[in-house]
Amino acid sequence: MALNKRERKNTELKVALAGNPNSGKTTMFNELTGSRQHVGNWPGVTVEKKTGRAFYQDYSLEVIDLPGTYSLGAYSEDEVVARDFLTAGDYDVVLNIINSANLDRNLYFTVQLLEMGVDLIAVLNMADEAEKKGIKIDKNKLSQLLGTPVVETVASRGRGIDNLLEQTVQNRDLSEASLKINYGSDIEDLISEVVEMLKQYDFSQQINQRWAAVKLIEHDPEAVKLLEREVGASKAKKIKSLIAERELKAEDDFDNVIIDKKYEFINKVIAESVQRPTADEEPENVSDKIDAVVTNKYLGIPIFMAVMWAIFKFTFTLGDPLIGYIETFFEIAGGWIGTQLLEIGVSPLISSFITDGIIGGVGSVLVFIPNIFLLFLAIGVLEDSGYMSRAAYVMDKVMSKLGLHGKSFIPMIVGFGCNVPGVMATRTLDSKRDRIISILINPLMSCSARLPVYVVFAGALFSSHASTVVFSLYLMGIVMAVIMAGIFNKILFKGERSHFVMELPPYRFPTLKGVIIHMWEKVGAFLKKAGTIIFSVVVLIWVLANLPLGVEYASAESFIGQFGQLVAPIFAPLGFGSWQAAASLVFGILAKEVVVGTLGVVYAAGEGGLRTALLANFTPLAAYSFLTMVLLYTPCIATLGAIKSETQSWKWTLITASYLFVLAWITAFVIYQGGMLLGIGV
Amino acid sequence: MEAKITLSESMEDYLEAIFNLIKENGSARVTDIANSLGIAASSVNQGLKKLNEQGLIKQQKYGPIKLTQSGVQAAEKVNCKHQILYLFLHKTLGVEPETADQDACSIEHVLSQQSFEKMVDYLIENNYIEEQNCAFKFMENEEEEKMAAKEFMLDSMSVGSKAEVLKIESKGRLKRKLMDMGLNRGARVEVKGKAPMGDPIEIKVRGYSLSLRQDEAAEILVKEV
Repeated sequence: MALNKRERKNTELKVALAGNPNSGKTTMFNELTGSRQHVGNWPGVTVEKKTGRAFYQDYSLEVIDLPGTYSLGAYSEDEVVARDFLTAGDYDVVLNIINSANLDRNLYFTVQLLEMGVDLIAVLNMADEAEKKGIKIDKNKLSQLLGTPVVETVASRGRGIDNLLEQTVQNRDLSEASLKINYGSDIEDLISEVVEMLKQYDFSQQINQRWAAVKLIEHDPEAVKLLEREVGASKAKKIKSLIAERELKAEDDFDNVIIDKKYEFINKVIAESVQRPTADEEPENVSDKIDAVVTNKYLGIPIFMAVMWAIFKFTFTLGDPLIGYIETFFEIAGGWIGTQLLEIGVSPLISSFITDGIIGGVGSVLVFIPNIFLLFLAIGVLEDSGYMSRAAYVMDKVMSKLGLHGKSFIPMIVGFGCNVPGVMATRTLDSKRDRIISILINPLMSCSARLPVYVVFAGALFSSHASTVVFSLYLMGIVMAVIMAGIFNKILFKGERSHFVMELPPYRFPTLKGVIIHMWEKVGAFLKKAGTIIFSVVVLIWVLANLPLGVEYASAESFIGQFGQLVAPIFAPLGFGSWQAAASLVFGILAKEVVVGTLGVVYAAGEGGLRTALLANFTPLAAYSFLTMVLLYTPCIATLGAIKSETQSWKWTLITASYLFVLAWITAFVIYQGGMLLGIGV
Repeated sequence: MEAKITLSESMEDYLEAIFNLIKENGSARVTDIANSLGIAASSVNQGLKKLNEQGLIKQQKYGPIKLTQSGVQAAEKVNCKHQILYLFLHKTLGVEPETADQDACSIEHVLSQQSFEKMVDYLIENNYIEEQNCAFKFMENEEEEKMAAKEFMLDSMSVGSKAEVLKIESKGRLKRKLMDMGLNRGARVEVKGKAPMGDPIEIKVRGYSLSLRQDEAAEILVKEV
């Protein structure tokens, strides 16, 4: 195919990597491109797009890493992205990465590519794993049966890469005829008829017509849509009813037959080109042994909990001192620059803008780096080692009750430390539905920045029950998350059934290179996408707290103060209708712990004085209602930035920001008014 | 094959009701079953769940209930015991038809294979039943039992057992996903384990490990190998 090949210079090639997840595709991509990578998004979807550059002799290769999929159907964003790229044909050759130790299922994908007419090199990766399993593949025979070049590699050790590049360059103009599988007389007759009709209706010549016909017979929804676009609804209907009519007369659904025939073909190919031990001769499987322990009835959950605890400790215990250093650095740097600026005669307002606004803004982005760095180091190890899917397997029963996937548990746990990496960790989820719901409820996990607020209030107003109050807030967050997950499932993703059909890949040693590249990507993405949003809002809030000119920072006369007075009545039914409380909540959007600092400023209370101020301004009931508000209301700007960057959509970001505010208001209202009625803590 | 599955009295009643409803109306729905047994629909659902677990019925969510091959066999057997008991009570002992029918209903669940066979023998000797009576199908015949294909849903397989996939009964996205993962007709599967909370399960198919939830496995028809 590849009819759309752009005019490229002789020494320039465009190649795409395609293959199953767990075939070593990402490792191959890292091996080919090293650090010359760029991570973005495919247009309009949340699927990550990785491109990079590889060099071989005089050639420069643009390498595109297509999303790892098991099939080229139309049932996930990943599949549609890969398929659209391949049908558009803007590439020279596709490197189909195949896990040699798992040929049957990997070749199922290869066969689909070949049927589409994709020019590909079949890359038998993980040749070492296959060898260990006693699998012997006759490359020449396989190449002959598939009608396409075959190359052997071990990407994790860099074996066979040069040969692969050599073959890639040599086969840049590959134009083998597309693979034809015999689907039996009933379907073959139908295919011919459909192809004939497509020709009659002037269906796009760019698309392999036989492939399109097969897809239509399979009732592939994307193919049907394409047909309707190309030939119009009425002609499309003729083709659809012809297929439906034949299927009625057939013994079995056509899509079943088509898949069965594909596997039949693969079985034949394997029988002729592969020697493998029978089930009894198979060497002992280490992965099965590890699984017997890790997913054991009694040990499975304790091991999972221990791993979660270790990640949490690793991310936050190791990260928090680093955050401290970053904060101190920015304080000192800000202070020093401030004095310098004042000395050279810059007005105090401008100086404050530069130090508090801009430097402070940069600082508030950078403080997240240590946590994100460490968390994704840990997640990278979990994913690459194969434990991540076991963790999901162990926890799925619980999470499925919430309509979520087992993997959703990890972002939730991480959320207790900080919602920013929590939201980013949802990337590990495959389905968009699971990802969105996990993101929406993540801010309900009470992050560590909210703790200082609880502690100050609980210390001042609930001295004897301080710990119970704090605990109850954490619990409230979890309960709300469970309720909201249920609601979102019902209203946002009605009728979509989540599933847990997931490969449990064999355990492997993660490679340092892979883990580090993964980590860099995350940090880079955060800085680029979330960072700009965080920075702008920090600067904006500074401006609002200092204008109109001449007011004291965050005083009643500043725009923030005025805004606080304006919105204070909204909070009156919740027991805290003062402008100070309202202003502190506005500042809390910068970062939740800022609520405490702001209350100190607006009540003009020094160290320790805040306690007295709180006692004077809050009843215990109002304080609990306020804490409920702090727990549940609109997440901090950093979290919102992360949500925007993960969902690629302002819609979801705004939904999160607003539903949480409404939820917080209602809950605080019920607590405060309920408490008043019962006369508790008044 | 029925000998291996011990069904409680109420389970047999459900099975019989479903069997009769299908014979009469061509389909059985929860409400019909509840009506014919005179119990609440919620308890019917519980019973159906048990029957499903034992691979005797197939039910798509909110769809009609179907009997599996072993379900049909089990139902036919209960039905047959009822007939034999009725004939025995009515013809040989002279019990009134109505009473005989009622008693047969209660005794059928506890009747042992031996007593059943003796009754059949007696009825044959006295020419009360014909050669093509249902009973001949259920006379102890170990060879035949083993021959009968052992078909059931994947979720009822125990850890360590192996089977061959016959059919994916799921629809749409899930069906496609399962088949894309290599679970199509003829694929050999082995149940490797269950998650600590019993769900999901891990199976080995086409040389790799795959996890799926119990309710997903419940839509995959397999045959023991």
